[in-house]
Amino acid sequence: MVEKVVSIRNLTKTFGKVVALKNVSFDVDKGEFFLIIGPSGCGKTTLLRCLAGLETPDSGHIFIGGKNVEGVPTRERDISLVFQNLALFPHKNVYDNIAFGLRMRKTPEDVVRNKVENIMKIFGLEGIENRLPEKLSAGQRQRIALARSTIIGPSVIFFDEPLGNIDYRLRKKLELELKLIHKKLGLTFIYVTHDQEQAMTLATKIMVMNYGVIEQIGSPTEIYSNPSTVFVAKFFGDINMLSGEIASKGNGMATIKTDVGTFEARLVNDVVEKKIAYAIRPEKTYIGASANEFENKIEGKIISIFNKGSYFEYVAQLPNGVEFKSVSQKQAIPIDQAQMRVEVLLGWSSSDALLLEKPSVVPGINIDKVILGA
Amino acid sequence: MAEKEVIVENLTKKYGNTIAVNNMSFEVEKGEFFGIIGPSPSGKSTLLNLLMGLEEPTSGKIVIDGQDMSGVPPHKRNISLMFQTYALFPHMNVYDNVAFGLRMRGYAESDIRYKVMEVIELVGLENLEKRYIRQLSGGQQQRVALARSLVLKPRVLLLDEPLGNLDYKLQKKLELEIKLLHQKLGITFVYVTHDQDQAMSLSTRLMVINQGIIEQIGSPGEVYSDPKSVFVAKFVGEANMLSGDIVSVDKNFATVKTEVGIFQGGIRKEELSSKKITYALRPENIFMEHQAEGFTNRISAKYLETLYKGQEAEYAFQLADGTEFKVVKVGKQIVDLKANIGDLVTLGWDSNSAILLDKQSALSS
Repeated sequence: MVEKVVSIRNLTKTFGKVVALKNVSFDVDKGEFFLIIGPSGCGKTTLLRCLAGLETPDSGHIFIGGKNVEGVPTRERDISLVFQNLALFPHKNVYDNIAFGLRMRKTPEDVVRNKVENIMKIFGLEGIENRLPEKLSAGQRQRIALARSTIIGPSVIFFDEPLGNIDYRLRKKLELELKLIHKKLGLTFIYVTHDQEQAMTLATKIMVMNYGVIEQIGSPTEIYSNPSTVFVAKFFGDINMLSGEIASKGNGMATIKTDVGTFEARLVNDVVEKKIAYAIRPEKTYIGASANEFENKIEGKIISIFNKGSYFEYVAQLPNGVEFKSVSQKQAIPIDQAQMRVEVLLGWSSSDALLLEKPSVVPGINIDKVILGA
Repeated sequence: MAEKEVIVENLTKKYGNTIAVNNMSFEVEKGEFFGIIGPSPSGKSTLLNLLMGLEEPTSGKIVIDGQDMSGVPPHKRNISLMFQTYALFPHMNVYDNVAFGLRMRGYAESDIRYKVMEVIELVGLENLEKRYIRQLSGGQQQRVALARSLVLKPRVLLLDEPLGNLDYKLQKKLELEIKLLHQKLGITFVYVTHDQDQAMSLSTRLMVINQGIIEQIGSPGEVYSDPKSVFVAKFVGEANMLSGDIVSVDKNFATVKTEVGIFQGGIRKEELSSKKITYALRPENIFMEHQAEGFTNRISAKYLETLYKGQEAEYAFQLADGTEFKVVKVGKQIVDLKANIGDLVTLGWDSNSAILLDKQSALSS
């Protein structure tokens, strides 16, 4: 059986009248890159602070490495923290930065030297021990922060938006490096971010939070291709959506009536509600001539075409005003057709359609408000 | 022939010894969505200030709608700038923010009312006229900024990084709104950004600038698939690159020798000026494993990782000489590789998808 590095049971934390965490329970397996994501105010930062011992929960239990950590201060928990901007000591050289945690623990200097040299080798930092962090590249600084965190041998490393304020291209580079390091060392990472692209890219498991509760836990693929709520579906990537009613069910298929037509969907999970959201990802939505091959078809007016270089994105407006997107690597329609609002056909396979019966795990929330802040 | 809205001729702006804009000439057609991109500092902001009339050029001239702009002050130019939202007046409501420019120009309140309400409706801010700026969401504030610049009915709207500080989802939503607004108004938009993705998405034509000079002008498709320099290839989109030497040229194909193998590349239009070139490949044009079979150009690479992003997947590889290679597959092209991490995988590509670059930058020619 897989070892649980972190177990959370019924964790609740309130600040005055605000419930930041509401009866949250989950487990993190050893070796996982466990990513916690959600919009601002979802409780992700409070959760991380409770785990790190920087905040005391109102009720519930936290187990780290099998040990209940109630009342255990941060430095005695078997953890390390990597903050935004990495928080390296600017006046200490690379060696002293990495040695810091061991020295705080009163480790003898000969043991420190041994361990620091060893970890510098693992992280490819040989030869720069006397340099100051500011003189180094962003990639090197990230590796120093990781070396500093891993050297004390923690069961788990927590990351709080470490790549928050970094330029896009550099961030992508650092993401790949972080992922490769995680795999190489077999460590357990718990990583908090609001950036859905980072979540998909980095995580082995994603936990989506909203208003202090867990919306869904799953692998990036599960979360993306089988979201359990409208909130999750919209939070990860783009999705085309129609509201509808289930007209009939049978043979693993459902027929859904919407105000722009009747469509089919393969039933992956059984649906109980009659009123549902019928959704298709843009990359599963075909436009132009190729749309003809599919069971589900609808006409729309093309209103915009985005040439993204590596792919094209088409936006069409359905008769009810809803915008539907299609994404394809090859160009499906000439660019000038958007100017003329030409009628186009959109099509998709019933097995790519999703049926979502719950807007969110949180009752009564306005999805658009949460997703777009508009 | 398309009419010219803006003509820039031999424009130069110096600050002491620094040349911010170096002999730029270009034309913007009426009704275009003209994107200007470059890293910071590339001269974008200076160029914008010169167009607006906030600064005088050292030499060269700007013609807007057939009229030479030399000595014409900003408020007499038929051009309006959409400021970033921090330039909105926080102590004024939406209506007064939008009406500001008209009042400064001494319009009658009755005219102002009509004009303001028209543009408020255009940007979708109905019923929010009485709200203060701080009571609005980020997206609504963008719309106020847009309304304020459109109320003056400019022939040219300049947009300076208007979506700079917004979160990703909201940015995408407003990109579409701006694109639709441009179609609806039919006026000329000049859009300045450092975000190549935005520039690609929105522009009908794109100008890439670098250290005060023009690297390339073309449609987003042209600039992406036929970049004229290593700089443009790297700045617009992602590119895998190898340095090599042309060893022979046969009709439309060149044979290029690199450290990791010999490859073919299609020669486009002009002759290459140098034997030493950069052999570049867009990540989506590379095929993997059995899909790589049958291509003239093949290479074996160590599989490092797949970065899955839902709509697209990015595959990272390392070549024998340590070069990182990226492959991107979108939507239905996404494949599960048979290889395990660390295995060698065959990559292949069509010679015509290779881009041969003989210049680092327009600066080097």
